[in-house]
Amino acid sequence: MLDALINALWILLDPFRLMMLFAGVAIGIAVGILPGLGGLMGMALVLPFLFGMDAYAGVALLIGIAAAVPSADTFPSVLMGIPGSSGSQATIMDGYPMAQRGEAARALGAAFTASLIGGLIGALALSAVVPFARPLILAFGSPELFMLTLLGLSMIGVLSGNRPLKGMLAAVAGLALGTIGGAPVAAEYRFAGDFLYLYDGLSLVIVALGLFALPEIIDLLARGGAIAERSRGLGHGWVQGAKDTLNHKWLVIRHSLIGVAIGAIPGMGSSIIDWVNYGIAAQTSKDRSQFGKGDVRGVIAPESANNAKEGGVLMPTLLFGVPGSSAMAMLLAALMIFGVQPGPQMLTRDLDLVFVIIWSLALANVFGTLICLLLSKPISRLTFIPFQYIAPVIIVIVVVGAWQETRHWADLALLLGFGLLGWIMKRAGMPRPPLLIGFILSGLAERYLWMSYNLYDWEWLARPGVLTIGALAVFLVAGSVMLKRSTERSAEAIQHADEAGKPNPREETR
Amino acid sequence: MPQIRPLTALAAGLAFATASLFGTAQAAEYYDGKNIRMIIPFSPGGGTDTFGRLISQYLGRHIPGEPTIVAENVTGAGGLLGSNEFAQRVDHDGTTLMTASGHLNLRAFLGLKGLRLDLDELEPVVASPMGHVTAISTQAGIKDPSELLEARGRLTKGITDPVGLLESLVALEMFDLEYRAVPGYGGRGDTRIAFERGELMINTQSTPAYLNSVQPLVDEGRVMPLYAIGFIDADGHPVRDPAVPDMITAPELYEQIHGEMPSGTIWEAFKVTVPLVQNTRGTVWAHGDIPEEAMAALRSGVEGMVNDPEFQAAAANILQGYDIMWGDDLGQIKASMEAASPEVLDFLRDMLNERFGTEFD
Amino acid sequence: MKARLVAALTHHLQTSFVLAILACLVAILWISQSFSLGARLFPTAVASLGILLALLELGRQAIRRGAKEESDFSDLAEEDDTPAFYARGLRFFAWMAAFIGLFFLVGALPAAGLYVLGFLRLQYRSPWLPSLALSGGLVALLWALGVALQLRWPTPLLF
Repeated sequence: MLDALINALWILLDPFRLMMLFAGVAIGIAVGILPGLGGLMGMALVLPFLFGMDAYAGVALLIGIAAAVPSADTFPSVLMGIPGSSGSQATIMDGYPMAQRGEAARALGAAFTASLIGGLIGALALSAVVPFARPLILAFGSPELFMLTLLGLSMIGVLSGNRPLKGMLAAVAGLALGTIGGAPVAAEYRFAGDFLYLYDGLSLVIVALGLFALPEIIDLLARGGAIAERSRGLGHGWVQGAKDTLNHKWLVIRHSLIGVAIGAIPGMGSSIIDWVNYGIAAQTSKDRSQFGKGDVRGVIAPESANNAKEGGVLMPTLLFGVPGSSAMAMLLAALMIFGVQPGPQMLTRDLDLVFVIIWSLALANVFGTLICLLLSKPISRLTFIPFQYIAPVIIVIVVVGAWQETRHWADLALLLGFGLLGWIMKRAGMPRPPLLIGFILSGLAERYLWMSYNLYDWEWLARPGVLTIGALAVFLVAGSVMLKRSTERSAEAIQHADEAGKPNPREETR
Repeated sequence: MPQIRPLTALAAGLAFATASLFGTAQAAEYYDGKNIRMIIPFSPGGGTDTFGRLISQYLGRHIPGEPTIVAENVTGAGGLLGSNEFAQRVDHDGTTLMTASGHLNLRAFLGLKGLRLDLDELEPVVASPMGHVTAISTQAGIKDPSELLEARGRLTKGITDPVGLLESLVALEMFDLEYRAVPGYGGRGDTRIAFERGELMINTQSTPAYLNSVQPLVDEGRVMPLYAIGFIDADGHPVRDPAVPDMITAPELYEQIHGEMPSGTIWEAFKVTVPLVQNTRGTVWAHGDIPEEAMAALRSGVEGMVNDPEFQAAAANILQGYDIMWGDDLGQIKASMEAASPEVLDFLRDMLNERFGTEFD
Repeated sequence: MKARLVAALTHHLQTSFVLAILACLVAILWISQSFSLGARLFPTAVASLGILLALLELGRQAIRRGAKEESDFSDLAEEDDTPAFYARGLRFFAWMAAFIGLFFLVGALPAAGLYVLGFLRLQYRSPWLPSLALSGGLVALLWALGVALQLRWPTPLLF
């Protein structure tokens, strides 16, 4: 085993293969930074070059892309409040407020350090767990997957701030939006009429870009000035951010592991991972008052999970030949081109290749985050440029990115429509994240509920996995309510202390 | 049907011959300086997409004039958007091709609601076949495929998209087995995991996927192979799947159980569905009314490609043990469609509609 | 007149927004009753729950009428709630829509160049030099990205 591990490193250190890995990282950073484009697109781009390429080099190229995207997509999320790809939506929640405070470099430093550690933990977990991962993956049947969607929906409470009712309403609206298009368990197209575009349902990329990107751009323009106020100074540099992450090492490790675990479960989709981790981080924190206002923990948790998940999604991909994410379908296609059959026998027949994948994942994370860290200082200066010069560029890039989705005019019409919706929601005090979560989970919840019933009638409710996940959801929600009460009490105490003339502890930097 | 087939083959051959006679003179120029766009109506990754990309990569250099072929995934509405674009919104001049899956062909053939693709107006350029194997969990309590009708318990079968599994469903219907269809699975891979988990009792996989992922379960004694769907020869007789020549085919198993070959509408439906799906796991289509010199250039390009050792090496991994179909062999695809009587089509549509609510135009 | 209209709209925005959601949910409930069982149950359940929540929220708003609510958890406090601010916001939406229109009419690259130039010159009266530089730079960037990432552009409707 150890021999194979070292042997694989030597295989990868061949100059051509390393060059391919670098090329992958570069492509991954490019498609990650550009909103609307993601790993799937980058990988589709290089697929034609794989015919006739050496298998190790080809795999290094693809893994390089997959590993670099979740690092690089942090840039637009933090700097402009625009989701760089579907994996970094939750980073906006605290990363963007930090950038507005002039702490963009610090947020990026924290995010990239978390990404790096998360990515390495993901690679480590993949190498350690892969021989035992089959039972874990097999343990999640339709009933358990349904309970996981409920767990995801239970995050809505903490993402709705002080108005749970509006949050729930937004989530239900999201669930309703998710029912547009083909029904998951019946051959019927709902609310689509004869408009074929809607048969596949609304695209997550378009909905997320519309809800989060456009309203931010509009409000910044209407307000005038730059993203960050120069008067507040440059804030702390990325070194401070890196320190923040290291100070929260347990948070990083915990959320990396959660990221790996959720990523490893096929059928959940990776776009929910960042939200779940953000929610858990907020729910389990004693002092929740700064979440959503620029708490660095709200950046660290989703970013570590986001990179670690790649280690997770590779497990079902390699062990079962079932893609753990849409980008992993491309890796499977590449393996087919190279004549490698994914499956349990990969661990014996193609062990070299498995370890090359793991090494590529680790090295690509290191290269990717280092490049992002180097870029973070110059790029974060963009937040001080008058926004009228940034906005048209962003608008053009967002529109071009959205257009790549299906190249149908309705992509852009919907982008504008959801932009307007997000803008109005912001005015109406309706939180947007629950809408997005409801939308992401709608199809999954319906599908797995029906399948559970079809497979087991109502017996599925008594399955141990179902009860465990249910208890976990209840525990998280109840615990979060209790924690919130106790913080409110201590906040009151602080207020009393304030009135007595003591300094406000909120101004301290963590 | 047997009397139709030689005629079609003859007609196809004649068309081919005339096309090459008239075509060769101009064929060298037709694709000079032109690009060919290959529409793939699915997301990147997956067998059909990979086949389309393989052809895009190697076909161009063998077509006289050496056009560049650019593969483009036009996704949306389960393949409808890309197919309709190919059918309606591009010039019929040979500069646009489409890679369809067997199931997309079947959808077009049955006339799925919203799909504007008419296979009668298209010409296959090159195709790749793929067999399928159905297996059952040993929880069903049977020791031999011939005891199939005595299987016990909830005989769950995972459904991804009913049209996409039609060949396996028609086989089960042929046996008149009481099974419980569970729709909602994302793909055949997901049903395989659910099968391994014990959630599903009956599962159909492509033969390579079966050999790779289900065979280990058979060796552990948790699963038993039931039958290969098998192929159908030109005279309507079952043929063993070349990738699993030792495995009994569904019609043979029927004969073993009932002492006679299946018959009636369901058997006709089987004979129509199986070749259409399994011969065309990936099919590259051109419009039927493109200029003759273009068609001739495409055909000679395919001939050059399949004889190119570099292509053969690259294709071996992707075809997974099956021979590529080209030239006269492609006549089978159209022949099996022409062989289908309206009753058989109605039978298939009714079955899908009653059981799964699928709508057709 | 316009300002009054905007003012009235913004004042009741949160109520009218909930009413709009309520209307959509009722429509969903109504339409979904024509679906087959497998397609009907989930939208029915979701819409019913949503209607209940929307009514509760409307009730809550009626009780707490007039109380200015703290801003959203995710969205930063918005000082600018004035009608003029709304009008400005809508104007920028119009700019965005104009770009999308141009995008289809003249193609992606010319649209990007024209839009940046027009936006900076007409909306902000920026000097020619930076406007031209930014517009040219963006077109060059898009062109390079288009080549490198094989981006696909719309076929312009005008030519």
